[in-house]
Amino acid sequence: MTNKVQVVVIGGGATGTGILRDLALRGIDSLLVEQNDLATGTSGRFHGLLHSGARYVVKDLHSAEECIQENIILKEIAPDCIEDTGGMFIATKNDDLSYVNQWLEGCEKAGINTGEVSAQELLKEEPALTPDIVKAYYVPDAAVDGFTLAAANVLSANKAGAQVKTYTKVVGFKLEQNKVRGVYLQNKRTGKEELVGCDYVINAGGAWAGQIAALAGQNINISPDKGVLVIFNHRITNRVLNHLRPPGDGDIFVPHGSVTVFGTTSRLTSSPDDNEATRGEVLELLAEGSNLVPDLKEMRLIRAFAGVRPIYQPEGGEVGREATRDFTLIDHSRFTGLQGMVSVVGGKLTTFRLMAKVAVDMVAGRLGIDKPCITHLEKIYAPVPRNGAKPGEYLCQCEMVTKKMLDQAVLEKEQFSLSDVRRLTRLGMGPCQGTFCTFRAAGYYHESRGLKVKAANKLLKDHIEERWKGSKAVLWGQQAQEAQLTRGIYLGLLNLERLDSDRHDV
Amino acid sequence: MMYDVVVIGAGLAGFSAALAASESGKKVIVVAQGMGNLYSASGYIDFLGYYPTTSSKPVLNPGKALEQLIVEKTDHPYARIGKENISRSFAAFIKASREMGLPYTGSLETNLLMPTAVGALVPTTLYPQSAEKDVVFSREIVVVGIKELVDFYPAYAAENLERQLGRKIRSVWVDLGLNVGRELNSYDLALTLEKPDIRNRLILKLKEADVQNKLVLIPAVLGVNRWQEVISEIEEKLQCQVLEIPTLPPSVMGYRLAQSFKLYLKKKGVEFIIGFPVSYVKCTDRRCEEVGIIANERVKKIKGYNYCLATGGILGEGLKVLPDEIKEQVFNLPIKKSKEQLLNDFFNSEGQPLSHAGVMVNDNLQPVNPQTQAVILTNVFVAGATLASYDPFVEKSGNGVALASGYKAGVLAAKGGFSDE
Repeated sequence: MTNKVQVVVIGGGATGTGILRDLALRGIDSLLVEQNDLATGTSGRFHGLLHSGARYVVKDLHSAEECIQENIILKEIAPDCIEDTGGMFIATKNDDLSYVNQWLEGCEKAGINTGEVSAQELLKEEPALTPDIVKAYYVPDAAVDGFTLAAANVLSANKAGAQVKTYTKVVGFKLEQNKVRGVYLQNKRTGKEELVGCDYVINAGGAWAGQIAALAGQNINISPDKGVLVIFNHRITNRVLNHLRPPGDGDIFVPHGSVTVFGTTSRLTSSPDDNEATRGEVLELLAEGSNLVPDLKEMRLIRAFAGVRPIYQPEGGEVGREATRDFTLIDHSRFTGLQGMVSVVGGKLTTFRLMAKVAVDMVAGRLGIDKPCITHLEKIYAPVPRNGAKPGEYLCQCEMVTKKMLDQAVLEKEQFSLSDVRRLTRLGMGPCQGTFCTFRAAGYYHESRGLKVKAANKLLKDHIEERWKGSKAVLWGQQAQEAQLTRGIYLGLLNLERLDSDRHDV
Repeated sequence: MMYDVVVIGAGLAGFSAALAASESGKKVIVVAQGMGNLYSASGYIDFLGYYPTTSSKPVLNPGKALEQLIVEKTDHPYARIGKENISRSFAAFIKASREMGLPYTGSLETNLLMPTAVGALVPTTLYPQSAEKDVVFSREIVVVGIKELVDFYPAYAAENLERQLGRKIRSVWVDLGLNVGRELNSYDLALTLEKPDIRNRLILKLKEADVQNKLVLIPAVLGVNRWQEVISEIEEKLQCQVLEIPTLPPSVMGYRLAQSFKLYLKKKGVEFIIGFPVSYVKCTDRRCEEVGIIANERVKKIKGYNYCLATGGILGEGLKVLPDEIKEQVFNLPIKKSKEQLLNDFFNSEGQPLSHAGVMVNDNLQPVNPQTQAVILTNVFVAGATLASYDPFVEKSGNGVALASGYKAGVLAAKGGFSDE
């Protein structure tokens, strides 16, 4: 393998993988490095809403315009990653109706189609909603799977010759005469370090972008902003549900596969790694969400998690939800004279492709390459397609995952965890949260991949632990019962904890 | 009509209480909202597999470990029941199991190590006679998987067993060629294997796998009702020994015990109303006078002199976990709950605070106030997973506590006449 590329992209979220694909499609030799698996940062820890832009029309028209343009493009090029559920905004009798008019004006200006629907008609289609609706509108929101999106970007980039190293951390930069010459990398699994030479670095580290820039002596002011989300065991609504009011906590519901993601909150936090949701935060969210879905507190929660928004804060700018969701491209040479490094900060998943285009336009220009961006013209595909299975072939019945999908998910991986597999296949993401399919997947991989039994035991234990951690903040009602069933199976029935297994990951 | 004993719950604890009460000739009724936890349990009676639970070594003599536990953990259900009562419950269960045509065996002095579906060994105290096979000292072992079943992976179980037993263990897949167009669970497959032609196909495939004189470990799918016949036929025709491994729910072994036990109790005159939760209780002067269910939109009153509460804890919905509290669902009894948070480590061998929560009782298994120890209801006796102060999953004591506490609750309820402690 080569140890010199033209561009190193740091960060395997939607933005980083989008940049890698854009570079590759312009024929630029590139490598992406990600400290964990793809989409394990904010791109995998959000509500999974492909914005129509309607949420931003009143306060941030420019963002709204970008959203609707990208929404249309992504629905066209990434159908494997998007479920085009449509969306709705509803205002209840407790909401300020003067906001509705401002919102309608904003949608019109931004070019977002809205269609008014009567409360009566909407309740027929979406019976979980509150009967207190006074105004309701359809918008072109959709559900997007951040894991599949990042993987599909990488698949497209790989085909065009780009490379990716996951579970690889940037530990330093090789700088010469105030210019970036290379990146020092460490493989987190083996501990091995290497230097990869390059002409340019694009820092797409999201919430971690500040930490990465600091390794090159650069200062980026990112205010990490934590958002808590919960998952229900069924689809509460068929469309994305938004509260028609100024953006606040607990006003977005997004149906995904067999479940619903609901969120979110907005709290400044000290660390981009702060991704734990607490019971108190979950209860606050539920109280808020009950205004839109009255039976919410009776519904079964299966998981809670948090993501950290990478909000870029130029000197004296706003923080939290007041801050712009626009993105910024920072050319470090303009501030400190450091050549060969740009950072892409802020923004949101819906506009990842546009962010990538702007960043690559600049870097390509600096490299003297004048090929235009074509990422909006070619489709991207999920590496593990979901179609074509016959009944009788499913290992995970909640999310319809087959043995063939398990094979495809690890095709080129020497080492993997069931979490890596889950992100590509949705294994264990459904209502049973892996209680049944985790055992099956470990047994299946043990044989099909010829794993040593201690490695198979580790796959199994790690995934059960991971699912447990995510459910801890919501362990009441049926989910507490389900947790006892899971303990009954893995501890009581199988006595799994007494088996030797390979060491847990650090 | 007045019952002597009303048992609430239809799991092993409830059945065991009904058994004890009916043995003394009392009029007994079992009311339950569901089929009971046995349907997802292994069908083995695990009694005390690890003590202390953090010990890496399994308990080999549970009677001896029990004596230590009774001294050290005075709140544990076993300490409340007492060793003598535990022995009595074992003897009664073994006797009843013979009469019900599903003979169990084993003793409080020995744990047998039973293989699990991942190939771990779990200490087990009572087990069906047909399962009295020792994997640790057996000659040659073959682990058999059935292609149609997604819940068992023979090579995986075999390699784990191999590491623990220190010798080579062969594994093999057999394909029954059932083209059913859907995933089969253990229960589906067990029903299918009762058909003579499918059973013969299995025998033929096992013969090809060369199992003569060997111990065959196979998932517990060898018939729902006629399993003893299926096992004997395989053992005789192929000159081998067969040991079934309990599978993930639906557990056929748990189902067999639940069905046989229920049928047996019915023959002894125990009445059953299953499918309806208790919707109200009438209590005066620290006594329960009546419980009611709503069946087909009509209220049905059930009056008894004494009551056994065997509602299966959180899993059986006898306890409901709310964000800030845990509620006992029938009598709204106070719950003994630790203030500790859930532990991060799912596999932590100290157990989870969630499992330790439950109803606190005195030595008569009467519910008491966790602070004052005062008896709350004098004619109610609590059994099984609704009891506080133990974690069945790390101890491997779920069915043992259910059996022994249910039996004692049934004996005391039959005796009656309690005014106070």
